[in-house]
Amino acid sequence: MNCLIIDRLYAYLDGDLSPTEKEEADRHFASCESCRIALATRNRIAKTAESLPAFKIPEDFSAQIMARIPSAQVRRRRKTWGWPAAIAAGAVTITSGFFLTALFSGQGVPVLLQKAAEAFGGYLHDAANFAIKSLKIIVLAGKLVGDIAGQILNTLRAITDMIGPETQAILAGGSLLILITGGVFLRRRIVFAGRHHEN
Amino acid sequence: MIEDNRSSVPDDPTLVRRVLRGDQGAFEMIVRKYQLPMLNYVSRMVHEREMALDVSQEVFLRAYASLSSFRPEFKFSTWLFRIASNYLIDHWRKKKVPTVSLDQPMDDTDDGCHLQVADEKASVIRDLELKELRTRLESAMDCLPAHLRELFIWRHVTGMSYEEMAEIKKLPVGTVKNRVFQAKEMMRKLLEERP
Repeated sequence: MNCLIIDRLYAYLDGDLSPTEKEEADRHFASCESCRIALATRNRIAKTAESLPAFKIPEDFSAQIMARIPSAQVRRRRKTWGWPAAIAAGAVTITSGFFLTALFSGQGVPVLLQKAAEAFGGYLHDAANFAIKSLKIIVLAGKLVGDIAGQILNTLRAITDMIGPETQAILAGGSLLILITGGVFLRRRIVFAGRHHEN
Repeated sequence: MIEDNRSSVPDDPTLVRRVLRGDQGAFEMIVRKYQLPMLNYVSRMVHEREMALDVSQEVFLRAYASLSSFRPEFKFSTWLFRIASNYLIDHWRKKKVPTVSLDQPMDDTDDGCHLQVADEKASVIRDLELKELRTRLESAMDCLPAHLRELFIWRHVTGMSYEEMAEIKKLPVGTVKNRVFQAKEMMRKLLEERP
């Protein structure tokens, strides 16, 4: 056997040679000093690298990282108290606004309450009118869609009356085939897109 | 591979699930498990101790922030080290450090590894004391291009398999092996040449 190529030397050290190749290499090492030295040198470099001193980690390394992570408990508390706090703040603002208006306008609280109720009633009336009109528009739109669908159905019925049962069967079969092909194609695209996303 | 303290802690997918359910203690376990291999790698990539600590912290924080995107069918360690490798690339790009990119494509056919063993009857390396060799090895490692140094460290300092390294770098195993051989040959030449 000739002297080893460098990458075979590394393959030997990594244990990547087949038993036969290894046996052959071992026989060669026994008789070739150059290859023996080359192997020992590379082995020593690898072993020395594996024995390099480890990094001295400060005691508080993980604690420092954890201190920079926002606390999940704080997040949860904010989530829990967010809505009630907002409602309470709104109520406090309205009440204090009410009393401040009463104080600066010189009007009594009952008068102000009555005025507010009248204004609120007006808004409620307008909102009810708006809702009724919107409902009417929706009903009209529904009717229109129904009429169009009826027209389409009538046209289809007229067409089917004009063609024979054989042609109807061919058309139905063709439509089914197109639907199945389309479905298979779409499914493949979704699966492929999923795989692509994984990569 | 590469785990600091694996005997008493649950496996990685379990820890990740617990973190995602809000158990921060589980993330601290992850940090403790991987801090040593991470710092062994990062410190040899950035050279400065404080910088290595900062970079490693940022890597763990990035991992925490994107933990929901981790897919349990992959190895957590390779996912974590990919974050670290990408972080270093970004870090050097921002700092405009004149270095070879970790992802720089290279000609894997012209690596000198296909050469026949030369007459190596004399070798400085074999005669050096272990302590001296370690010091010289650390210096020689600094002279390697970053993309080769990274692979050398992963293989021989943190003890990764070629398959893990290939998964991190998204390269074929053969290419990774070839680059590690290249790094080792460069190291050997540097060690033989240096007084």
